[in-house]
Amino acid sequence: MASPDTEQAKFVNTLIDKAIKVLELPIENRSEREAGFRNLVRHDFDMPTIVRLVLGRHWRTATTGQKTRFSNAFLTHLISVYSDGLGMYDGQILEIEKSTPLTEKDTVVFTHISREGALPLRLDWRVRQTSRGLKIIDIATEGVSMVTTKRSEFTSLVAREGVEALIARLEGMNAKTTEGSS
Amino acid sequence: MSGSRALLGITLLNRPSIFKLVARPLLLGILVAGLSGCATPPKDPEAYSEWKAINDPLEPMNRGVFEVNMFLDGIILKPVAQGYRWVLPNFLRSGVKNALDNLGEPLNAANSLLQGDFSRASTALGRLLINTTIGLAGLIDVAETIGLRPVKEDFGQTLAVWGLENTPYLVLPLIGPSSIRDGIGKGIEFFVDPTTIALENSDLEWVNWTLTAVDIIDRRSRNIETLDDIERNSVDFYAAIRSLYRQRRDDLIHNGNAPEPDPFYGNSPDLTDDSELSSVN
Repeated sequence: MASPDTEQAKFVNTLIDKAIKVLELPIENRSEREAGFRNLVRHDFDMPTIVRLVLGRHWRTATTGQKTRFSNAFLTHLISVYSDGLGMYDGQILEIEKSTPLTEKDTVVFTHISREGALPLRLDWRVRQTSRGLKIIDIATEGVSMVTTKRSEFTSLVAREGVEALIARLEGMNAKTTEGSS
Repeated sequence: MSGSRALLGITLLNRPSIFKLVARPLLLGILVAGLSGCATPPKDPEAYSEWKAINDPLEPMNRGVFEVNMFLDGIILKPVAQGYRWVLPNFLRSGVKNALDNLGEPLNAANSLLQGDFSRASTALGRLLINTTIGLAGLIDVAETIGLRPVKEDFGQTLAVWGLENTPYLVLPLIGPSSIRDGIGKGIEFFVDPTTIALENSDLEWVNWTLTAVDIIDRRSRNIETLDDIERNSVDFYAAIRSLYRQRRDDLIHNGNAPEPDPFYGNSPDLTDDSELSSVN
């Protein structure tokens, strides 16, 4: 199947190749895998935008200290969820179907992962043209968006218990995962 | 495989009183939660529009039902499902997709029957049965029986105010996420479903019960790790499930076509001021 030639599609293609290299590392090499994902995210994801999107209207009312602590806690949380959840690379093939402009700055790259004995898993990448080049600002699996889900969860918690409670909860979850890995 | 399923079904069948023992306190518990179930909308205009967008005016009651569902799941359903899995080891697990599908994909029983797809038909029948017995219709009936009219009126007001297009989020006892319109729809479907009527007329209702019980355990057994993962990685499990359920429904409605431009992106006032973007990375 020919993959589309847009810049965004090529960008996603390169990103996938980099991700596969990290996923090929054995599961036990936890810190190596996390470092690999951290690099990927830092380089190819627009974390400042993602962080503001998932906090929603509460971003503006948070203090500078809270913003920094939240960003760090969220980044660590994201990395550990994905490096855990994605497991090892098993030779799955990722195919790029098409690349469609969404808004002025954003494009959606539709891809899917072929699997043995199961329907292909749909994966949509939202790519934004930023001042620092192309960056990912969202990923959706089978139509479920990471940013939408996290935003829904986080704003719900902040509305009920405040930003500090959210930061504390994320930091607590991060601490548990580091304990579990040693 | 069908032999084991039948055996499991018959075992459960011989203990119908357990279901009744659970149903009564469950209903009363939910009603008590339901009396204080409607949240007052927030006064701050920004908070209010967020509240409206979330469309979960019954959140306190929903959270209560959700807690009860999770509790029952932990002490009854999950252990049984784990045992079921041990008995039938060749069970296919497909991770996130199955969990999301099982979070409430609406099934058209009549269509499935017409297509000769009987396992899908039995699934739909099972859900309809449970929903009707201790779901929406059941809640309203019990309320009237014990004289709690205000509960019923609140429900009617909610339906009238929000209309039927974007109906509020609703957590059904035992079944889980739904929407009010879906709940009513299922109730109506039940009454006009020819198969159920035929089974009742032949005194074969027990067939439905067997299928229902086995189907519920079957589905639960597929989703143990996935739901565990979601719970472990969420800061607010209830809100996460609500969001996942809704996105999945929207996705099914649009059949996976390109999503409409999301109002969060590009149009959000948060993003017009670029000077803040450099403060974190």
